[in-house]
Amino acid sequence: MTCISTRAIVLRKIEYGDADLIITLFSSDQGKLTVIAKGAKKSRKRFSGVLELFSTLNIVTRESRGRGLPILQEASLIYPFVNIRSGIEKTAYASYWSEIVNVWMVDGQKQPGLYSLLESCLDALDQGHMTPDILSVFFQIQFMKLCGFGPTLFHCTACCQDMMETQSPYMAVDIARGGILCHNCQPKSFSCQNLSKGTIKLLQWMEKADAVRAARLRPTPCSIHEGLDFLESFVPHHLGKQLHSLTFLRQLRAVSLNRHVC
Amino acid sequence: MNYYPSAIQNLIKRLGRLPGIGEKSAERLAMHILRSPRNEAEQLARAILDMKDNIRLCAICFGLSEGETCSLCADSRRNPGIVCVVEQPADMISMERSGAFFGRYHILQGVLSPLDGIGPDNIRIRELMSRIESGGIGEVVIATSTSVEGEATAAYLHDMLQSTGVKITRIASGVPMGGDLKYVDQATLKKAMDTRHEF
Ligand SMILES: [Zn+2]
Ligand SMILES: [Zn+2]
Repeated sequence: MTCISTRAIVLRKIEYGDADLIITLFSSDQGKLTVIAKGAKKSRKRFSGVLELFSTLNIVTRESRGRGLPILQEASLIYPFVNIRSGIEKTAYASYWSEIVNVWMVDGQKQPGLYSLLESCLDALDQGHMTPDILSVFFQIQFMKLCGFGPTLFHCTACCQDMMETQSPYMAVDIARGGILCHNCQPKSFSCQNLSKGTIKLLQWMEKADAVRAARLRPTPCSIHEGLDFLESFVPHHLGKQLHSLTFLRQLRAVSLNRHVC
Repeated sequence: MNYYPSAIQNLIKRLGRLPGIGEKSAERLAMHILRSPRNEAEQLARAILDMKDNIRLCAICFGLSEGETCSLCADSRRNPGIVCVVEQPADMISMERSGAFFGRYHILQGVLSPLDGIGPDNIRIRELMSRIESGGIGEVVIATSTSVEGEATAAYLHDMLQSTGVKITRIASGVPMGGDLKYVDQATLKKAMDTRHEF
């Protein structure tokens, strides 16, 4: 009977019957894995307070005797990231990143780079090193780079003209082609999403930076807003799926906008 | 199962859909009902329909009620100035069992959950706000669970309620009664230590 012992982050938790939980984790050694935690809902001793969303754990799983899910044997907390749940905005962003990873990854496929990206972003969110929105720009652009569908940001996706040589202060976005278009190549017939040069520079920079360097950046609110707008249409387009937590984030932003207007 | 007459098969099938009941238990229950007197079976059937027909949500607290308002909201001995916010009717029942609370309740009918797409508009937050805005409430006790969703919902309610000027409190969390420290996770222990109180 094979046992797996690995470091892992809780992506999703679903109640199963009266006593059990089905947990989806993203592990550093095994990629995404789904396990059953028997008796986790009832017992105070087994897994008490440990199997919470976004927690980083050390886990031991064992294959089930039949064809069922692997069984979670042990779980101990490395980082509970309790500050994330102290605010709804932080919780919403952490959920969004977890959902992206959950949708993109296939069970058992390893992605150590993506694992450390998720863990370091959750850590920065917990510590408050960066505001959640800047972190989300960083997470999304890094995620796309790691998964091989990063947007073309340095030259026009149609004619390859260097972006910094173009005179226009705005560039059009072509989500399907996966990048930006210069002034000559953008369609005149319909209004499309635009990115300012400042935002493009921010995205280029975020793509090359690590978390520590990204934390020193002070982008303008306008660039963050534009960058998020772009990434939040770009990522779901390439995942081919609408994400629940993105709908939630948008609802949350609408509520806070209404409150500021009032 | 196929060896039973179809009326029995049908009942076994229906009972088997209830949570926690497998085919074997469903079979046993069906056989028990078959052997019991007709009036007992009738009472069981009527009790189920009675409940379905008569239970609705209380117009004030959104708890389970038999009329427009529930017995708790109608009880003049309960302090109307303090409202305890819980996720589900079952949480209210647990709180009542503890005998620790003498105010009124507000049942959110859920919890904010980004991963399930359950946002502020999907649970009874607006109703709580208008209940507070209509006056007479001095304190709101937030008693959502200590899961990520429960804590985040508590934080959201705190943000929303701050402008109303009511006192906002959160139930304490920490080491369970009769609990052994070595089974308590570090997040809970840290919270217990942070919020320790003087003897
Ligand atoms: Zn071009
Ligand atoms: Zn009521």
